[in-house]
Amino acid sequence: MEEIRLIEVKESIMSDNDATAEKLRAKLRDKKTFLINVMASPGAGKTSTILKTIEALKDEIRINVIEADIDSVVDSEKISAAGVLAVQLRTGGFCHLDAGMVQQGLDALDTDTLDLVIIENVGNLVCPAEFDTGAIKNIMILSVPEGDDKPLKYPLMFSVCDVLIINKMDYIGLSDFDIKALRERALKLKSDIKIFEISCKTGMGIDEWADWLRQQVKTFTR
Amino acid sequence: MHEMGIVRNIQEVAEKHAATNNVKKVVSITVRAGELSGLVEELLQHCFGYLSRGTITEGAKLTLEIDPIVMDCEKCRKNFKLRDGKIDEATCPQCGDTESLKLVSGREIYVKNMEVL
Repeated sequence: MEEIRLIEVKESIMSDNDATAEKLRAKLRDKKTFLINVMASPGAGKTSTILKTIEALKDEIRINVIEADIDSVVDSEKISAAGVLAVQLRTGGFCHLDAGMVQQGLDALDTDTLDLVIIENVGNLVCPAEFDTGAIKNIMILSVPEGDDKPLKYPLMFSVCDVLIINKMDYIGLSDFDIKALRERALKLKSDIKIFEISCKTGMGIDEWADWLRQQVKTFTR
Repeated sequence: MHEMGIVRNIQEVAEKHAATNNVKKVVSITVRAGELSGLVEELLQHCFGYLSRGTITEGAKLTLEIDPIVMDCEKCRKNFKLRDGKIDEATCPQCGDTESLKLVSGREIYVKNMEVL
């Protein structure tokens, strides 16, 4: 009978994706194109926030969008209607984007003429957090109706994000959402996370967020 | 399906090592994951059974070993493992601080070893 052998592997399952993501980031630095990865649960306001961001920045910054959805082109149609080119990636059942898929999206864009590419990841707080997309900054949107306990339930997502945008601040008085508790929970998972409070409906806080992003893009593309 | 993407990557790593080690069949794969990854062994095995069909890893048993979350206390510089995985209730075992704790590790996933024929 054949003997069973033991092979020591000790290899991260993300090593291929991480290598692709690093290569992608190097290319972006070379082309001076800033890439952000926007993640949130379905309905938190990813598309609305992106539309507000485009509105605030499109006169000074050249922006394109990569849209990811399991199916449908609804979001990319909304972005295109705002006058910005959007490519739609259909993940075909996959619940997240990886660096290879983002590279395909970027290949469809003319990054030589762009300052900023925004990825709208699949609506999900679990899987997108696991896969490095090659983005320069990871942005997470949490909306007030979702509750302040989300860092407890999805710690990984908060731990990989550079920015936390709290959307739907216009709901704050209508709920028991504890913004102080949320901040403490998020900071424990990522001590240098930058937090913005916004409302896409009233426009509150959009300027602060857009100012920060403008500064980041300007520094990167200088 | 959260586990599906992870399992696809586990399989790619396993197949790569099988190819370079003259393997006829993979009998078992041991995966180590930080507690933050939120992986569940039964679900992993279930997805794996589906994705491994017709490959060299078909029928292999997946075992998941969990590594505890590691945090740093920025006040007293103590590095410690969380026993219950609850980051929100974490307290520094040395100075009792709860405010200035920082997450160090707990999200890595890697293939530790595999038994092969």
